[in-house]
Parts: sequence; C-alpha cells; structure tokens
Amino acid sequence: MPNELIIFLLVICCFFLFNIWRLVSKKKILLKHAILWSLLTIAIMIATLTTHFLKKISDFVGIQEVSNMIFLFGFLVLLVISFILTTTVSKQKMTLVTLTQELALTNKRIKEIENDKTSSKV
Amino acid sequence: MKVLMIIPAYNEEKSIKSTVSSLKKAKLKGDTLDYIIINDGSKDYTKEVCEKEKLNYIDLPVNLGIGGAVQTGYKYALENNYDIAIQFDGDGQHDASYISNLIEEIKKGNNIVIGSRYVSDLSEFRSTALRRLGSNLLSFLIKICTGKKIYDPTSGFRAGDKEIIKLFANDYPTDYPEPDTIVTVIKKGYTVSEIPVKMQERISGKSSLSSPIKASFYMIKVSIAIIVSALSHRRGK
Repeated sequence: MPNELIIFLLVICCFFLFNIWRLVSKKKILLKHAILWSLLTIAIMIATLTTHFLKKISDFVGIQEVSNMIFLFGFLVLLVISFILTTTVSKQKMTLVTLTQELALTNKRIKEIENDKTSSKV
Repeated sequence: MKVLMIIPAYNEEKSIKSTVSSLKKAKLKGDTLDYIIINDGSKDYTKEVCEKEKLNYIDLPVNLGIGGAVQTGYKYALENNYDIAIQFDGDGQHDASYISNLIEEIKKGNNIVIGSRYVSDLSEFRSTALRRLGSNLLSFLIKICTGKKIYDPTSGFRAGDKEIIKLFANDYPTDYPEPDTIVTVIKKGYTVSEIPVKMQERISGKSSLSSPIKASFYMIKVSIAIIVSALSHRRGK
C-alpha cells in the first residue's frame, strides 16, 4: 500500500476516534457504545499498518485477495452491530410502552385527586 | 361484581360519545358497570370530546397501538380491583346488549369469554369473503396449536376475569393482539369460551385492514405470533 494512502487512512481513523470521545464527553453517546466503535477503529488502524500480516491471514483462511477478506469481515461486523441495534430498539420500545402507560395512569390518578379536592370545597 | 368496560379509542371523535351512551343498553343483574376510555394518542378531537362530555378517560400522550392501549385498560382494572374487564371497541361495532351474556359466561367459571361473530348464524355480520377466509385460517392454526376450536379469533369483544386482568396487565402483545393472546391463555391452562354476538357496521372511520397488502401482512404477522406463543408457553398456570 502506498504510504500516502496509509497516512490518509490513519488520519481518518484518528479523526473518527477523536470524534467518538468528544461525543462521550458531551454525553451524546454512551460509553459502552463508544468502546465498541473505538475498538473497531483501532482494529482498522492496526490492519492498515500491517498489510503483509493481513495477506498471511487471508492465505491461511483460504481467501485469495486481501480485499475480499476485508470486505467479508467488514460485512460481518456491520451485521452484528445492526443486530445489536435491533435488540436495543426492541428493548427501548417495550420500556417506552410501559413508561407511557404508567404516565397516563398516574395522570389519571392526579386528575381524580384534584377533582376530589375541588368538589369537596365548601 | 365490579365490571369495567375497556374502550380503546384512536381517532374516534365522532363515535366515542355514542359508544359510551350505548353501554346503557346493558341490562345487568346486581353487577356494577363502569367504563374507561383509553385515548391512544388520537390526532383528532377525541380527547377534547371526552373532556367536554365529562367521560371517564385515560390519555396516552403518544400512540401505542391497540395492544398498548388495551393493556393500559387492564392495568387500570387491576389497580382499581375490578372483577371482570370487557374490551369494547370505540367505533360502535360492538353491541352492548350482549355484555350481560359475557358476564354470565364468566360467572360460570370461564376465565375468558369471546363475543363471536361466527359461532352461530345469529350474526349476519356482513363480512367480506376474504376476511372470513383469513379468520378461518387463523382459527385452523389455533386449533392445530392448542387443540381448541375458536370460531372468531380476531374478535375484540372479550371479557376476562380477575386472573386474566392480572395476566394481561403484566404481559400483553403490542401488535394485533387478539389471536395471539387467545393462544397464550389456552396454553397457560385457562378456560376460554365463545358466545354468539351480533356486530354492527362501524359508525365512522376505516378498518385498519382496508388494503389487501396490509391484510396479507396482518395474516403473516399474526400467524407467526400464534406459533411463537404456542411454542413459548407450556401447559399449566
């Protein structure tokens, strides 16, 4: 891989890492999600720096081109991440339903109590 | 016994008042009948109508869908210690004169009683052939999964006793819950009974399953839900 390309990729990764942790400190994303993405970014950086090592792995796994192996792994990682997101969304949907119901029931009760008060006024 | 009518309402500003006043048709012997409207985040003036007419209602701040709305009603029934809860549609399709029949069936010892359109020839409910076919398919699927024939699995006119109230308050499916919950209830060993009722044409509004594509999706989703429920519950309470 030409050095310019390596430097370019590393810069992008560094920028991405920086951005993740900026969002963590601003409390825009959760720490556990940040760790997942950081690990992924670091893995990409290592892969960028050790292309000859990647070639060995792809030979070992039986994939002819390194790029094919990278596409395969990238695809699998994205699948796993989107599956995790689906479970998160489902869990949040259930939580939201319960919260909405409890809120509505509580509001109803508050209203009843207030009505009692006004009607019992002399 | 204390009986609660659970009336889920989504965009029912035109029919909600007449639905509630139709409840007076129910002739009960010694039971007290209350109702609660669950306004499921309606976009029209359902809430304002309820407020103006001083109807007893709970206002869900966002739309949860029929399952979430009905479950709110069961939670309310549990909180206020009702003996029987009856689901009753807000669009005027259900006939209140059958409420006493449902209550009688519960008193005979059934846990859940379904007001059924197809259990006898009493109801000349004008249903399309396609709708009827779908209903028969679901009926057949439930028969395979539970061994019990339910003639009208999609009926939203149902009564449940105290145990059912507790069960549904804790766990109720979100989407198209009627057939799904029947399977769960049978699998858990509760008794289910069906009585014939007449259903009317809706006063206003449109069926949620108006397009064939939506209806097909409904069938697929409900079938999967039935099978999952059948597999995930063992017999016995």
